[in-house]
Formats: sequence, C-alpha cells, structure tokens
Amino acid sequence: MISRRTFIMAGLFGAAALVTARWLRGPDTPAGDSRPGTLDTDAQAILHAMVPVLLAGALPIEAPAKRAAVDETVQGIGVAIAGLSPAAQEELRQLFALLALPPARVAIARVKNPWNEATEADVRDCLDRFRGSSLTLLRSAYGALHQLTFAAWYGNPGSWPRIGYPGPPEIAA
Amino acid sequence: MTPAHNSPIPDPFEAGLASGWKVIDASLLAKDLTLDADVAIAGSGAGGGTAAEILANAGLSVVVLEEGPLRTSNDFRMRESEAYPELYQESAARKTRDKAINILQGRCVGGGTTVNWTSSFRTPPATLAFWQREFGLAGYSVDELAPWFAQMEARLSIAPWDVAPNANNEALARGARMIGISSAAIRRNVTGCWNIGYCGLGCPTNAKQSMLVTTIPGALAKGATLVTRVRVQRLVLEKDRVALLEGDAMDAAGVAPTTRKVRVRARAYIAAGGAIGTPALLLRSGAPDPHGILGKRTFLHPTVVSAALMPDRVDAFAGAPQTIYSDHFLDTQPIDGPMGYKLEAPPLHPVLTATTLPDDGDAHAQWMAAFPRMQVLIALMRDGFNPESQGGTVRLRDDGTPLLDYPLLPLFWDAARRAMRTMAQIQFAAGAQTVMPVHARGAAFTSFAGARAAIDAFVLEPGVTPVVSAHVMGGAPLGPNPKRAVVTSTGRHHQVENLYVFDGSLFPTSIGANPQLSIYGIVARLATGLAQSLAPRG
Repeated sequence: MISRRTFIMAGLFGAAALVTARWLRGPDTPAGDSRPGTLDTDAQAILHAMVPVLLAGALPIEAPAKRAAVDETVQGIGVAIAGLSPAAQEELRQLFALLALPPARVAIARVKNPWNEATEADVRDCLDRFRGSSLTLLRSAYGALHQLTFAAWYGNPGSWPRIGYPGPPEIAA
Repeated sequence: MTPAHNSPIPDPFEAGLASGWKVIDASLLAKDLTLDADVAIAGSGAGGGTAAEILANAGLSVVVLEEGPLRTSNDFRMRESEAYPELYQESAARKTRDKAINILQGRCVGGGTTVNWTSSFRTPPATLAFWQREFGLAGYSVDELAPWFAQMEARLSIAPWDVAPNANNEALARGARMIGISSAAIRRNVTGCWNIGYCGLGCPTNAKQSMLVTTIPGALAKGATLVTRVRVQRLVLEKDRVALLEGDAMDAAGVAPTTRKVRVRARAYIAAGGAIGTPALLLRSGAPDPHGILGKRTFLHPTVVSAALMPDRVDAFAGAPQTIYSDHFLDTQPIDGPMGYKLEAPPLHPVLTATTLPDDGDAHAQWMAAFPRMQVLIALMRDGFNPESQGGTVRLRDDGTPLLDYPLLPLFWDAARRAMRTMAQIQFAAGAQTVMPVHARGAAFTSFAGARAAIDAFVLEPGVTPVVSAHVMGGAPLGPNPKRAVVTSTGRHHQVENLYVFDGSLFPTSIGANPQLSIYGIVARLATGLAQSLAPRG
C-alpha cells in the first residue's frame, strides 16, 4: 500500500526529475531517426513495454503475430503523436523523457528493470499506479497512453475481425 | 482533394475547380500571399460558410480562410485513422486544461459541419427566452428568428428523417417509452442519404448538406476565394478599426506554421473560428476587452456516457448516427436550476469506442469483443444557465494556441450522476443485459437496482469519469450591454467597428441542443444585415 505521502514525494521528485531530464537531454537532442512519426528509442522502449499490457486480451495469441501487432501499434502511436499540436507533442516528449530516466523509472513507475527488460507484472503495477494516482500529471499520463494505444490498435483493420466490426461499406453506384 | 478516381459519386469540387474556382492551399505557397476583399472571413464552418455565401450573393468580394485542409468526397474513406488527424482539431484529441474533457471539433473546409452527425434543432424557445430575460437580447424571439431558420432549413435540406432509426437509436426510443418519458425524432440536413452511418468521418456520398457541399461551393461560384491551411494569427488594429488580417501558412500536415504569411486587407473582418478559435484570435490581436469578458463563459455541453450490451446485434456503426433524442430532463425542470440534460445516442466506430471505454487489458478487450452488441447513450449537460455554471475560459499558451480551462463543478457532477442513473434505467428497460456507466475502471451491472446503488456511491471526479464534448459555444457573446457582451446584437464588436463575430461564440449560454442550426439561422440574419450595410460600391 502506498501512502498519500509517498505519492506527494513522488510528485515532488517527478517535478525535479522533469527539470533534470530536460537538462540532461537538452532541448534538441537529435532523435535516432528524423522521419516524421518516428519515436525516439526511449519512447519506443517504454511503449513496447506498455502496449502489450494495455492490449492484453486484444492482441493475437501467436508470438510472431503478437509481436507484429505491437510493432504496428507503436508505429501507429508515433504517427498519431506527430499529428498532434506542438504543445501536446512537447508534453508527451517530456513524459517519455522523464520515464526513461532510471531514477524516475524506479521511483515513479516502480519499474526495476530497464524498460526493454520490464516484466508485464511490473508494467501492470505501474499503469495501475498512474491511473489511481492523486497526481493529475500521472493520471493524465495514463489517459494519454490509454487514448494513444487504443486509437492506434483499433484504427488498424487488423484489429477488426476479433471485435466483429466488418469495416466501412463499399461505395458503389 | 485528391484527383478523380473511379468513385461513382461526383465530387462537387472537382467540377468547380475545373471551372475556375479560386482555391489556394497555403501549405504550397512559394512566397507570401496578399489579398484584397470586401470581407475576410476567418473560418469555413457553420458560421463562416453561411456568411460567405450570403455576402458573395450580395455581390461582395469574399476571402474565406481555413486552418484545415480541403478534403472532399473523393477523400472520405470512412476510416477513423485518416479522418481524425485530417478533419479534426488536434486529431480529435483536443483537451481542456486539466485534460478532463475531450473535445471533438472539426478543422477542415466546412469545419464541424463536415464531420458532425447531422442533428438539426432550432434554438430551443426556453434558451431564447432566457437570453432575452437575463441578457436583454431583443430581436431574438422564436418568431423573429423563425424566417432565418426556415431560410437555412431550405438551403440545407433540413427535414424530418422518415427512415426507421438504427437499433442504437431505437433502443433510446424504446427505453424512454418503457420508463414513461418522451422522445422524438431528430431532423437531419441530408438529401439522398444512403443511411450508411459515417457522417462523423466525412460524408462519402455528399448527402450531408454541410458547408463543404452547399454554401462554400455557392460562395466560390460567385467568385469568392478560399485559402486553406492558413491559421489566422492576428487582426492588426488601428484605433478602433481592423486594418489587416495576418495568417501563418501551415505545413502540409497542418501541425506547425511555415514561414509563409497570408495577409488580407478588407473592409470588414469576420471571426468564425468557433468558440475556442474566435476568442483566441481576438486575444492574440489585443482586441479591446474593457470588461474582461472575452473568452469567458465558454460552454461545451459536457457529456457523460453509458454503455450497454444488448442480447442481439445493435451494429451502432451502421445507419444514420443520431435520429432519436429525449429532452425530458431539459423540459421538466427550471432552466436555471440543477443542470438538465439532453439524451442522445452516438455512432460507434472502433477508435471512438475503444478510447472512450474505461480500463484496459482483458476487461477492455472483453467489452470490445462485444462491439456489435454495444448500445450507447450520451447525456449532454445544458451549461451556462444556473448562476454557478460559468463554463470555461479560453486562454493562450506561450505559442499563442488556445487552451480552454473548464472546471467541472459539483453542479455538473450532480447532473452527471442523475444522467448516469437515467441512462442505465433506459438501457435496462430497453432490454440491456449489462450496463456500464462510463466511469473509473468501468464497473458493469446486470440490473438497474444494482447500477443505481453503485452510481449513487460513485466518486465522480475529473480524470476519473471520462467527459466528452462535441459542441463549443460562447466566449464572445452578443448582446446590447458591453459589460456582458463582446459584440452587439448585430454581431459587430462593441469596440471595433469593422470586426464581426459570426459563429457559436456568439451564444450567451449553451444552446441546450446540437448547435449547428442555431449558428446557421443566427448567422444568416447577421450576415444579411452586414451585406446590407456593405452594399456593393458602384
């Protein structure tokens, strides 16, 4: 059980970490790939950890198909973010930069291992903590991850057969 | 628009552009663009579109500026993954400051009318009476507005829809009847509608009589100029007049401004960017605001949602999206008392549904697996009438873009709780097996008694209870008293003599109904007045 005091401490630490993250990374750290819609490697690692947990029960069961679906969803999230306003893009950039910092990952997300080694159980706990947080920052982080992930997956026709959605009709004269 | 393909649907812009319509995509400008006109209109939605045609028909030269792209029936493929980023503000993910409310707002030629669900209501008499009583607004009685509504209803083919409602809407009618409250059919602005159900993603058959296929083509045919992908940044004021309009050309994706500028010099300037965009433009322009009211009292009809599973397929993605409503909880209580709400059914498409349903993982996946059996109701709160209901405030971010701060007050949550109870009751009465009031982690119930007890105990909070809006209203209200209104009863700015506001920002309160026809009718009247005052020279 995490006390309210712990939450507040995490919040203060979060604010400090945010400043540190900006300072460490600088305002214009070059991304690995500058094509529009391509996320930096930190954001990709975080999303590759979170998407399979958010989409548990919705993804294909076989490992290769599941892996491909997660890749497509992360890619779709990147495209979606690139279409958001610069203000919203900056907020998300800061969120991913914060979560990528190991001290913040451990203190705020409570994920012990680096994101690309995080267990599904740890990520599950992290998402529950964000969602139930008394801090608007973390609650809205959950909201953003929820909206981006479900929009990317259910916008993908590959998700439609499982939910019985036939897709839009053909327009023929 | 994309070039012709093998669609059987004639695209009105394809023929129009071939005949010489003046349409400029500002994202393609190689150098700055300067235009002269009688009237410059910032925005091409319900307000800007209606005004453009009336002014062009009066022989005035008109330039319409639109931040979004021109997308037409050739482009409308009924896919959410394309429509939301292309046709909506902030990819349909625009949020209030605390992110508690998600706002669906159009951003494309035709504005919200290109993506709305065709629901057409005249401004409710109770709303007009309230404006007269509380804001001293004369000349806006039911009878005085009737000819303007009639004119726009004729222009936009607004008429009763005589096709049977889809199962999603029929459940609202059935449930309302079972619990003894009234419901009625919604009139729609369509002609030759195919009853497909994709109005929200751009009508692929041009059946919806949006601005995109009616007034904008009408204005272009009379020689108006349409500039797309331009964000109007500023009206340059000199003394008590606007001297120049300045806009930034946007990039092809519509995300960031390029270095190209668009300038329009006109006799009159119309702000018609919607109830978030218009106050923001006036704020950026430093328009006089001696009484500190600009951008205040911005209303949203904040909306809560209830999802149900029916025994049989509902297919709420198919068929005209909104055809039944109930005003029982607006009509049976004082307009300025506890907040009333309008009940409607929304269309369900996978992205809209999945992003609105709470929770994640297996629980979310199970609800989505029942997608074809899902029936959803929404309750739209009538904000702005109770003295406590002051709506939101439009502010500017550091980069000049607008941010709406809309606090959700106990007054709202009280209505939200009542509305969740009502919706669950209607859904069970209509035969639902399971009802999930959209809240927190999405607890679901198999009886109304169980749902009611749980709803009574819900802790309703911003960010915990999803709230949505598709209607932006207010922020630059009209009225005779400059202490309470930004523009006069003729739509002219109280302090700036050649500046007009012709969009949903005009409303002193929310409408209490889907607002498109209120905008059409009131702007038709105001634009006709402006056309007379600008009578063509020579």
